[in-house]
Amino acid sequence: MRTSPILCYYPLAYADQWPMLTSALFWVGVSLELSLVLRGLQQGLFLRYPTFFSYLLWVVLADGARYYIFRYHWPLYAHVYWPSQFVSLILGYGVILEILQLTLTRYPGAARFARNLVVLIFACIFAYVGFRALTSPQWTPASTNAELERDLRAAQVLVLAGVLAVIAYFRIPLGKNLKGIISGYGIFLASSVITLAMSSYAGSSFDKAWLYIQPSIFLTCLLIWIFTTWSYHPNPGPGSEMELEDYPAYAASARAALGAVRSNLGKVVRP
Amino acid sequence: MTILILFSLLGIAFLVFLFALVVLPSPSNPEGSAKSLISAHHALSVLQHSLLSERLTNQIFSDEDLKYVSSIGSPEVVELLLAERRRLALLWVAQVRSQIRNLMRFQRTQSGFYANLSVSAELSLVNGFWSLLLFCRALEFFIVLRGPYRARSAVRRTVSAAAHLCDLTGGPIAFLSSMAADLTVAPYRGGKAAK
Repeated sequence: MRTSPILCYYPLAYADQWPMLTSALFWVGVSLELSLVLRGLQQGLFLRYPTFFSYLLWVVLADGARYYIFRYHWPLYAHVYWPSQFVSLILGYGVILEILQLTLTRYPGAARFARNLVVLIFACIFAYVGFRALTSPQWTPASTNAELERDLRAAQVLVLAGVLAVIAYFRIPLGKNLKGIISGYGIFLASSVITLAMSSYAGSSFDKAWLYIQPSIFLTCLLIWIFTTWSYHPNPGPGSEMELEDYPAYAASARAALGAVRSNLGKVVRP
Repeated sequence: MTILILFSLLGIAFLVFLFALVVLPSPSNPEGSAKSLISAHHALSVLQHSLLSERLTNQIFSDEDLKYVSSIGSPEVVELLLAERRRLALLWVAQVRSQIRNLMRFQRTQSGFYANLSVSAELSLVNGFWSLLLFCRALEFFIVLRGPYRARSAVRRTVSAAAHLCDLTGGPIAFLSSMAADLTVAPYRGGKAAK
């Protein structure tokens, strides 16, 4: 298996081919990434969304380095591809944390809820891995780098889904920038999980399709980011802040009332 | 194959969720807690003074009219009355459900601001609201199946339960009564108006 600079594997069977379409996808992708980074610098978006733009900067640098190694130092390529991919993955977790922080800063209760949920998701993942490791000694989390990336991307999907569930539950409004960052990164994550799972299952028969699918999806994400993060759009806060003086008292009353309601209505079901 | 299906389902489900959150209408206009406070106040007032009033529920669910119309001896009129009463009863339950949903939205908006939120207490509150909404759905189903007159006992309990909910939760937002009118005219006054 050989990997390509266009953010996906490059199968050995196609190593001699550098089809025009994949080449075009690569150059268009790099141009868009570079435009985003430069625009981010010009508009001061690096300061507003530091992790997201650091992630984009890393993608540009990694793409450049991968292309150079792919062309001129081919034997080193596989040694560079996976480590750089895992740096992207770690920065991706940073992007999710940044989304959490930026959307929920003005909602401390929701932020607390989200933090608990993220910890719970990680605890479930670790408990599952620990359980499998203890109960079946033959079991390994992943037998290939692609499987490992698939699993880690799936964990990212779960964490991002948790954060988005909290945003939806508390009806927190999102600005254009954050909507774009979430949509683009979410589409990239979901498609990565699906394509990596297909690749693990189908093996080399999926490779040729993968050469086009993954870069095309990443291009879509880049286009979403171009349209939504071209200039700064602040995240709307609550229209007019107005809080109960004593929320715990209200919550306790509501809980007591709902408890009484439940027991009262239960009598209807069991007369 | 199972792994492929599981990961594909995860990816697809996430894409659907993402689509629903980002593309479909969401609180694009910042809803704001002031608006939710006004809605909650309105919901409480509608529930207490109108929807849960004994007079209204008796009017809808009492069988006196049915007895009277039956005494005339016209099956068509009886059928018409039953159909209309069923429609009214369903409308009544839908209104109660809608106001309870307003109270639930208010609770969600407020809890988002509260820094020391207890996750378990919050989940129990959510469970309580959902149970009540589910019961209203069941009541609708019951009315559709068996008609409004056979649901009187369930309605009495719903009224008493919802009234209890209004009494207990109404206290902490009672201060709104005096402010509601001002807020409706000028919802934004900068800062924390009720603090």
